[in-house]
Amino acid sequence: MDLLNADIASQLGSLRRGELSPVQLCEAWLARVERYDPLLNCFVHLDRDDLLAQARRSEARYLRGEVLGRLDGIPVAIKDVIDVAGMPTTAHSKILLGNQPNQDADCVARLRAEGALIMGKLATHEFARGGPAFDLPFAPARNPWNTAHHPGGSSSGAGAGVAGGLFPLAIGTDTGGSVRNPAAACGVIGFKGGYDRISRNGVFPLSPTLDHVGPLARHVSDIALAWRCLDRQAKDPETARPYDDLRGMRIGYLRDLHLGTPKATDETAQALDAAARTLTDLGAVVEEAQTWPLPFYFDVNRIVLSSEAWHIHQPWLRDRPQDYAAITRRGLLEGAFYSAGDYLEAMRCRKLIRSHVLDLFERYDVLLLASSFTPACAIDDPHEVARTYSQQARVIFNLSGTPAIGMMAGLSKDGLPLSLQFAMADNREHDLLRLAATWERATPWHAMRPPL
Amino acid sequence: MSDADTALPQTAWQQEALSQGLHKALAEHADDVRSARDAALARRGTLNAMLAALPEQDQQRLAAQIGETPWIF
Repeated sequence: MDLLNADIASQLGSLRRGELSPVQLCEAWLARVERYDPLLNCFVHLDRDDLLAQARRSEARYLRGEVLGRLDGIPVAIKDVIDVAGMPTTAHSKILLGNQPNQDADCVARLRAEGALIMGKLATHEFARGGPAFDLPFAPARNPWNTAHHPGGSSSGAGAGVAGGLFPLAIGTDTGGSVRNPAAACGVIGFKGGYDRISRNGVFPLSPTLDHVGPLARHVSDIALAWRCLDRQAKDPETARPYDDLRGMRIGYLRDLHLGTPKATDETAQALDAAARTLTDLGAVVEEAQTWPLPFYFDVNRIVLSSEAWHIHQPWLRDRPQDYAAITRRGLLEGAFYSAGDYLEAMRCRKLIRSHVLDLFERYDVLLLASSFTPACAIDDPHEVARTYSQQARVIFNLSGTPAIGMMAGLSKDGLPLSLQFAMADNREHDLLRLAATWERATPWHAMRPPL
Repeated sequence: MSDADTALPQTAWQQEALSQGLHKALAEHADDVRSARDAALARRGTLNAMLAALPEQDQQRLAAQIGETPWIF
């Protein structure tokens, strides 16, 4: 069904015109799941009967002419750190096996109020902290561009499933880049708005001052629609029209960030330079902008994240350390060895970082920068996974709490997606989505699909 | 009490782990505990080095924050 490649607005149009029913649409998506999820391991929980029951209720609403909201009949999949009433929340961990919330997280309740069909729960790194692990109750998700490769994380199932065409929209969480990372690895779009714009109520926390909830999709229009539904301020339009051109837009290109140590692959650097030229051709004034080396951001992020995560996990780390995957255990234990002084020092650095980012937004409307410095690495190489995690420029905007979007910027010679980020100042989410739509229209990448 | 808890002399990293109540982890996953402690130590070190290398203007901005609330938003 070609409609599955189209954006959500097109699917809704077909539902409204009666060309197909929500049940038929749902069955078409489920057929993709049944065919490809055995390769991709996106779902840790999927209740086909419950999903079809939701679709039948949606169908009845269409027949009565009482469409519920902006997403009536559209399947959405949820990262398994976010509560869905009646479905388990395991955070992909033995620790939470048997945990079944009876209330939706706020973000899920908002989706339901718009008529969305909640498909199921998606693979994540354990508690959104570990990495791909093979000593957990569920297998790690795999990259649809090459199933031997890492799909990024921690919203792994979300990135892999959107890219693989298993669902049109997924909701993930992003503490050090965990929405934008799988978007980069899998060649889809990952977006986070400003801090706290999407409620974290009902989301298992990793690091509450860094955690953001955000959507992943294949079309900017789908991200804009999801943002309108999820944003607590609900002030932006549900569509993000591309700009006719970018004349008058000042873009700061953080080129030094990926040419220092660590350094991006040549292919990534070339893709970013090409993006700068494309934006210039569209009329923007693109200048190289300066910032601190990436390890400064990364270390500040890790000290804050590890300290806050330790505070949450310390009872289990003391009593049940064997129930974590080794990679998660090592990561979470790091927090035991930071003092209150270390945490406060990192928060002091964070204030400096936010001031610096806001200064950049005084000079530039937009920042253009790398997302991942490398294409996705092999999933079964823990050293390479660990190495590439410190080569990602996404943590900056978790620290600053400002909006950022990750998008595809090319394809490596090995057939894996290359990526970039755009970032804007507080409360400029809609402008950021319009820029993203302009980039989407100007380049061929968003139309590429993995060779499943 | 585990062997790790009672063995003497305890190294600094073992003492740190025990002070955090990580008796079981130390007994069963000592390599992970040591690796986590080494990572924290290394990260503190590199961050301090990077802070010392910040431009003077940034150092001053950082110093001015002493005593301010750590909350940023």
